[in-house]
Amino acid sequence: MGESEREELQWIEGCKRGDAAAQRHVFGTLLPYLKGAVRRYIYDEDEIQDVLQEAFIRIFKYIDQFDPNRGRMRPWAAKIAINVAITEGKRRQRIQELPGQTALTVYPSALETMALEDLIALLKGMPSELYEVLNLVLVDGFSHKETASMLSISAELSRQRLTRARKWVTERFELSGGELTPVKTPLS
Amino acid sequence: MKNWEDLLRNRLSSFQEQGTPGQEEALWNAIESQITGPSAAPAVWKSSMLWVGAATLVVGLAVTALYSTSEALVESEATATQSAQSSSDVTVNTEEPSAEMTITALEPSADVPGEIRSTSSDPVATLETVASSSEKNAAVAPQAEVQTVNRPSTPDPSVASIAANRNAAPSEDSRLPNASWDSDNRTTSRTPTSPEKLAYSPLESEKIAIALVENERPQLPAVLPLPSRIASYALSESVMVWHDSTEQITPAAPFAIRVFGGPTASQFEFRGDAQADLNAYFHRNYGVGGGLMLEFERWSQSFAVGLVWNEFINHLDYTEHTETVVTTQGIQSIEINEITGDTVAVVLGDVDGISEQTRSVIHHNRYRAFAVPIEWQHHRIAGRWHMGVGLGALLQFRSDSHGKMINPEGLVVTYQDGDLTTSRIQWMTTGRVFAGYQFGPEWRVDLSLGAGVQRFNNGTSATSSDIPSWEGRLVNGQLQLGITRFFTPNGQSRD
Repeated sequence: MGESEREELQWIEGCKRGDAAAQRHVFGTLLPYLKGAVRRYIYDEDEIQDVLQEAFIRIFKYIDQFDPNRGRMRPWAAKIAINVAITEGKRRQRIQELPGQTALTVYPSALETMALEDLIALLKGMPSELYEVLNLVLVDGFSHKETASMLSISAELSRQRLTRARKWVTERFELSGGELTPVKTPLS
Repeated sequence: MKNWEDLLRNRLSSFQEQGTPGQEEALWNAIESQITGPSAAPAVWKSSMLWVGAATLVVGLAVTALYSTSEALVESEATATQSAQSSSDVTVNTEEPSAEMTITALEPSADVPGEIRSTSSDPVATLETVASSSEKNAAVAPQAEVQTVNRPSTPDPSVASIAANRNAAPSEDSRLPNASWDSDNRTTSRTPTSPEKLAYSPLESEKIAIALVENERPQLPAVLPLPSRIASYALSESVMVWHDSTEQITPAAPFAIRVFGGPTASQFEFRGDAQADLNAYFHRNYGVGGGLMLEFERWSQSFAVGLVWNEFINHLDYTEHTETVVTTQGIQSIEINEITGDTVAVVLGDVDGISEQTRSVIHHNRYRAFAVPIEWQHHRIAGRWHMGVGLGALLQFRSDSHGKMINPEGLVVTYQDGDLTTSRIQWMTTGRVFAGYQFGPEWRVDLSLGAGVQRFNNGTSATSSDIPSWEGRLVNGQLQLGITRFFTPNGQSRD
């Protein structure tokens, strides 16, 4: 166990005891990651704040259930935040369209070089149901079963949507065989 | 070159967004107001209660342990006193030679008819005596229970007196007439029914048994197990029951043919994590199989080879969902006057929608193969009952296979035999347990339960690009009902 993990465990133990200083420290450490994760699902700044508030309340409420032997704190907290983003977002419009997204241009090896905000904005151009599954399964590592539960769909449909999302990405970025290849023409 | 999925995952999952200080403080204040106060105090209280509970438990355990330790000390003292007394008793008993113990052991088998006795301690002499006595035994008492033991002759007077007292027991008297039929310089061999009372050398006992078998071999029926196991088997009741000195009996059989058949069970599952969540859609189902096997002995081991045909069936139970985007003519927007509520304008045009179809699929996937089983067997005999295990492999030649599979898009596709890998040869490791009953000298019926695992991959798609490639395995089982016929070495059977 490394120094950072030991330190993280100490802060977690402080949170379990209800230590306000430990909670504040954990909040400050996790906030950028959770905000980045929630940003991929929700674009509106006010809604992001609402989701983060609810996510941190759940994190501190259920921190006793966190098992350090099963992984680090960050992915565990990110899953809670994403779950909140998905479930809370059902009551609102989940994925907001980014104005002017079709005007973005994809350059060769755009997946590597494009600014992350622009990349997310570009990916949000795909149908929202595909974008959600792509993020949940491919990026955040949820299983199809978990994804299906969060989105209230079947696991088979989740699988199918992921296939369609992959197809969408490969067509936009002109990827072949799962490898990055130079894009010959800009995406219109 | 990097895989775009890995790249996308790494970039997006590491995405961080720093908030402005004002936003961060506002957010923290909102969170803090909900997590502090009512929740912090109970957390501390719960923690304190847990500590108090744990401390109470520890103290309780300690008190219990101390109490039980003091009791154990008292008990151990008492035990030590008793053991000191009993050890002196034991010392007296152990001074008695084993001859006395041997006589004691004779008593339980006193009612065995036709028993043979000996007082010789010479293994060679014992062997000869047993051989000669067994001839008479075969003639006089065909159903005698023959058991062996070596008893050292120890002419100790004190032991003799003890033995005499023991011989005076009524049970011993009832045995005497049987024992006297060949009392003239017969030695012999008595049978230990209780190993802890009669210590004897397994090696010598085995020699005796082998000698007995060699002597009786021409009169044994043709039965399994194979020669190396006949030594123990010859002493079993089943051999004695079939023993008939008036009949010409052929030597023990070295091979047998077993015909069997029964239901098979099979389940398909993907190997690897990529498609592991699809395993839940494949279920066990049942087919049939059967064949024949030749059982024989080589290198003092039992083997079997044969030819079988099996059909393994599993079934796919899957609900397929498909979504398609459809574009139709419809109302794109309606403009309404907010004050009057009147419809100002209706805009018609192309409207996109999603059409969702659901299809439930239940299909039986079949795998049929001729196979050559190769098996090593280990047997145990208990009277007429026969049991054992068999380990080996099935060299399978696929004759047909067809069914339905789920492709990566979650759609069901049909595959035929030609779509699978061109190599039709497949190995399947197998193991089985069996139990049989020998209802005649040359016949045995048995029931066996076997299991095996084989690969079921599709690396290439020969005829259709829609057929996915997969790596999977079939876990198979079979319940076999078989009948075995034993044959003599020269090919003539005994009826």
